[in-house]
Amino acid sequence: MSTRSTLCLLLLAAGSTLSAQSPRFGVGRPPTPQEIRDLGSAIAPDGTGLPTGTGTVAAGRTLFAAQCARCHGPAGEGDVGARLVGGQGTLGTPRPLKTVGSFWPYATTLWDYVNRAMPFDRPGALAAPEVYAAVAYVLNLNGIIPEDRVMNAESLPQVRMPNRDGFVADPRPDVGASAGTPRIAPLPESQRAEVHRQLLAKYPNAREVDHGVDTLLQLPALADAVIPYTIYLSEESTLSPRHRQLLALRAAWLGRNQVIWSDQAFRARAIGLTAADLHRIAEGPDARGWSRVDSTLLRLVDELVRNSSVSRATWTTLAAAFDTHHLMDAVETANHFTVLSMLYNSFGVRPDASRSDRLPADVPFRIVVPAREPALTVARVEPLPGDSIAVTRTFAQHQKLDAGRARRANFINRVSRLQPRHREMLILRIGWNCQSEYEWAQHVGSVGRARDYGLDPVRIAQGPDAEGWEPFERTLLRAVDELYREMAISDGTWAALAARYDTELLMSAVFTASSYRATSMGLNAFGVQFEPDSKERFPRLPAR
Amino acid sequence: MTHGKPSRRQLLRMAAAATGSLVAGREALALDGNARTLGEPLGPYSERSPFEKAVRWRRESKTPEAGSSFTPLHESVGTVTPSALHYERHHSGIPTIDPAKHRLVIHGLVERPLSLSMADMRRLPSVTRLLALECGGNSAGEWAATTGADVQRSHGLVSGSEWTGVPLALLLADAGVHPRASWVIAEGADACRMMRSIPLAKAREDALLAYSQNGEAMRPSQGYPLRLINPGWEGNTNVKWLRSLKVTDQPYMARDETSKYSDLMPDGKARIFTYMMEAKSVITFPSGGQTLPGRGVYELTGLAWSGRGRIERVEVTSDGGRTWVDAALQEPRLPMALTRFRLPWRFDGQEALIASRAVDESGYVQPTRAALIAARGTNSTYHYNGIKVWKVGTDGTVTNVDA
Repeated sequence: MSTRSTLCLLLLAAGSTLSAQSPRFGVGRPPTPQEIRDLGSAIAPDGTGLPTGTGTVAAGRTLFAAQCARCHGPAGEGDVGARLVGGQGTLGTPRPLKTVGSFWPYATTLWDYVNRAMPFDRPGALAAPEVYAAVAYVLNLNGIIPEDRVMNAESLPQVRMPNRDGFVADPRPDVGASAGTPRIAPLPESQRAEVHRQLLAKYPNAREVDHGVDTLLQLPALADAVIPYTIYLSEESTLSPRHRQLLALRAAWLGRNQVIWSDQAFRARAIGLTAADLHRIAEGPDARGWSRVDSTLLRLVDELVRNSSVSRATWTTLAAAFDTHHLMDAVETANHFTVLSMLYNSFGVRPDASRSDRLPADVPFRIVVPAREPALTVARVEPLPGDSIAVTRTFAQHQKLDAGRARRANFINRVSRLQPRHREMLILRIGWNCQSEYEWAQHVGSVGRARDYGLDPVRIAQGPDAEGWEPFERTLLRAVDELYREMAISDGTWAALAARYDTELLMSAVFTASSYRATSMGLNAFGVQFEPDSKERFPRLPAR
Repeated sequence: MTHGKPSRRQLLRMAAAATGSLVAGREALALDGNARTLGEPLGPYSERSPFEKAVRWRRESKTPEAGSSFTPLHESVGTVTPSALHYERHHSGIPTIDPAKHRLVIHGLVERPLSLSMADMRRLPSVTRLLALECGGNSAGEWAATTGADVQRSHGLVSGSEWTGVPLALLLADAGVHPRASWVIAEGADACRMMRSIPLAKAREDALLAYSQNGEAMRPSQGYPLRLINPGWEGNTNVKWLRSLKVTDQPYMARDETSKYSDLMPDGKARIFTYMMEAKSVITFPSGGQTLPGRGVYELTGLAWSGRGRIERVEVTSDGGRTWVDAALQEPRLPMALTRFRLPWRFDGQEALIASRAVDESGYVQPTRAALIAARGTNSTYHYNGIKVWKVGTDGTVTNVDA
């Protein structure tokens, strides 16, 4: 009969008395008095368990020399056995010395341990008076009791050890706890309100296309600015599904983002890309077997991520195969999935369990691109005629893209609760990092009006280590630099941001910097030219 | 075989037919090579192959009865440590105990003190659990600037076993614990009568009185015939050769929970009763002292475990922590057990800094060594669970980057 069924039978047999007391197996018997005696005495810190008997320091000195000194040294200085003496005042130093005198919190512990474990090669050999004597001597060696103090069951628990108050409760987890959980948790289904339900109804396939959406829902206005663009670029753009997936996956690879990789790899497999193809996307444009266009599309992503611009060679190759809408969609696909990588890396979004593809582990992270070329002096994408500024007229070439750009700009400039000064710092710093002089000119100038918010463009260009920033603003600039370099915000920087920003502001700040990275990449790639009345240019930085 | 080259048997038949005799056939057999000798007869209890050499490592000591021996993790596969290679930590040698004479006494603040024989224990309902067991002092050397040269020395005080025994809660219920009680003092039958104070809550939650390890009676070095198992807690609380459980209303402040197994902080205060072994992982291949024979793809593998439950995720870096990718986790992932992780990795002849980072189901992320030291300084000795980085050199040699 199995033990489980035995247990069940016993429970059944216990019947009505079950609620009154736990089941009794009735195994074993009461211990005999001799068995209890043989267990010896474990000594509690209040002295419970101490036997009768007395010991003096003098007797302990004799006993120590005969039985203890061979391991612990004649004066308890330690040898094979532990050092027993000294060290008081060292615990908080780089070289703490933990001894009975400096570290042990209770004298009863010393009695208990000597009684049960000493001498090392004959534990248990000492009679109770001998243990009292040995303990008295070691305490005396440490200056804790005087020469004439006798140790017994009454006096020993009274001894106050120097480090009696030196122990504290376990506060762990003291490191590592926060980093594991997402920094911004996905909105649980149970917490969806009307606004979230409406959004999901508006974009019914959003969560299938992108599993970061549940996290974006924490800030519905941001979700509304991002989701339609993700859907457009994933499903509806003028590019072929294959080209969309190549671009999105390469951006996810360079962005080191598992969420986008796993979602886009799922889509890629649905249109026939194999594990080997996914592997080659990670290997990059120079891997074997790519067609000229495939390879150039991958290189386009590499150039945008590394140089925030597109080389003449890459643009020319693509322009031979693509029309203007294709070209703009290709650039924006790379840009948008780079933005999502930065968002999801920073928010700590986890890939969905239903998507099993992960960034290939055996491919070295490597970007090989030509050197950044000088800024274009002629537009690649001709702006439409009109009165509005050049960037608007450029994007107006492609209504779908223009709508996406407008939604992002609307969130950042009208909806977000970020202080304008912080907002412009984020925009200008990422514009500087990406070397988008058009963006810089607009935001120092009439669009951003940085000086109106007390911002000195030179110091923004100098970065977080320039003099004069208050600590939080330094952190903001550092966050931008980390996003630019690492595609993510480090734990320390995030913690410093979170000390002042709530979830909404954190999400807004990361989105502002990330989104304007994409804007810079687009401006550079399309060759948007300065406004006629624009005076602002990159500062020349003083030599440091 | 119906086509192609004739088989060996067909050749033999042809040879026999050519000479027209079976005797000639035997000669033909002999021509085939030397006669094979018989293998060893069947035996009662197996030894491993003489070609297998993995052994525990221990420091030379003047007191070989006290100390630690380290599991050869670099040779480990899967998630179970052979009983014969399970790490050891003893304080006064391994006692030889006749199970027919061994008894466990449950006494103190209980209504019905109990004395149980091993036969009694075997009658009681039992459970089986795969668990990691880790010494509180595992990787203690990693706090210092010069750390273990190989994974056996740096992380070898952890092993994984399947333990079978009786839930302690069941016997505490039978003994009738006094409402005033809050602790259980566990004591072993080794020469020094090693003792620890265990909160009653843990004793009732999931503590196990184990008599079996990996499908047979546990080894003497692991506590034969009876051992307390506290899942997820530092090895020292898993008292071996268990003979006494005294239910009390206070911890006894044993030497091994005050002077030892307490964690000294930079301010001079020591954390006491730090039982939990937090999430940790280490790459066992490639690891320190090993050499990759050449470029190409290798299966990078290692172990992860957490005292707080299941391992949820293990990430691996090959660029010193700049970028991380998820490793595959061997299922089933059992709470507080060793979880094997694996990842195909290409060694391209470039120097690589490889490390693993575990996340458990509580969301705890294995910290970097720097983060641990920032929080606790370098003198806390116990509970080191920092990320371990190995350096793969351009020639394929693997070394300890922290050395």
